[in-house]
Amino acid sequence: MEPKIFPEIDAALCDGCGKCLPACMSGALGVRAGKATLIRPDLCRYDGNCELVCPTDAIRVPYVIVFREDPAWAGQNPLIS
Amino acid sequence: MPDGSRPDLALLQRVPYFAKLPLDVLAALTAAANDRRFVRGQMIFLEGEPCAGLFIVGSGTVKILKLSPQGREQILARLGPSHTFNEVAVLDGGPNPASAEAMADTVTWVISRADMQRLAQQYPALSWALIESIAARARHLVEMVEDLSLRSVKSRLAKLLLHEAGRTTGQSEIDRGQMMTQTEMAARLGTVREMVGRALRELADEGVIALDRHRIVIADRQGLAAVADGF
Repeated sequence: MEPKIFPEIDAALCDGCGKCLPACMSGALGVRAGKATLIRPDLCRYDGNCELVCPTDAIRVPYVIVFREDPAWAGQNPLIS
Repeated sequence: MPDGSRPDLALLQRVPYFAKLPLDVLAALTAAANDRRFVRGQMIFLEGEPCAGLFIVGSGTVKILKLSPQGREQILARLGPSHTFNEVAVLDGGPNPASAEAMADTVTWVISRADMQRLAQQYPALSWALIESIAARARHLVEMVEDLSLRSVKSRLAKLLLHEAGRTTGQSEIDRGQMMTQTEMAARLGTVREMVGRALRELADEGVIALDRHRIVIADRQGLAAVADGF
């Protein structure tokens, strides 16, 4: 089964400013040990607002771009490895 | 640090403009190449530094980019295995014309400028292969200039989405290095992230794409192509 994909937070770049918290409309983010952390991944809606507001580029919200009719996965979404 | 291992011949044969080279030329290139390994996010070389040599991507993904003084990034190319980069500096002896960064854990093979000069003089077929490479790169840059100066952000984004979907076509599993953030799309398109977000929402509202968490699904390929051609 495909693992769920979540925003990636680079702890080395994160300075714990917390700007991503109010930007996250679903409450999925928190600050733990001075770093932004996905505390409620089940709430994440992958809207990318966290990446937009992060002043240190610590958050990446990556996308895969596919054709719906691609026969390789016949309408099911491809696995991300 | 080089460890003395060499790339295999098959990798060099997959480099588009090395494919037609005779085996003895490929063997000479293999003998001159040294490996350089980089972790994701590591800079491979910086724009303006002395020529770092000709690089061949063995595995992973490399981003070629230019940075404005304010730190804004313009991505010139994303290169996967069997692609080369930094030919311009190798050929004209000038500094690296752009920077290169590993987008995933990456193995590259590097041939020094001095070795490339020696081999190009020894093997005329290699000289012609390098000319073809530069010509292809110039063609790509001409197209990029056209895109940046004549196309709207939405049209450029449509073209990018079609291109990226073409790269994943047929793959049942996708490496994370093939995924793009909206920030990376903006850098590639010569715009800012907010414009990409707006253009994506417009395309979704028009029904040509669907946004499904980490997937941008092209629902209407012809419709998206029409947007790409619409300027």
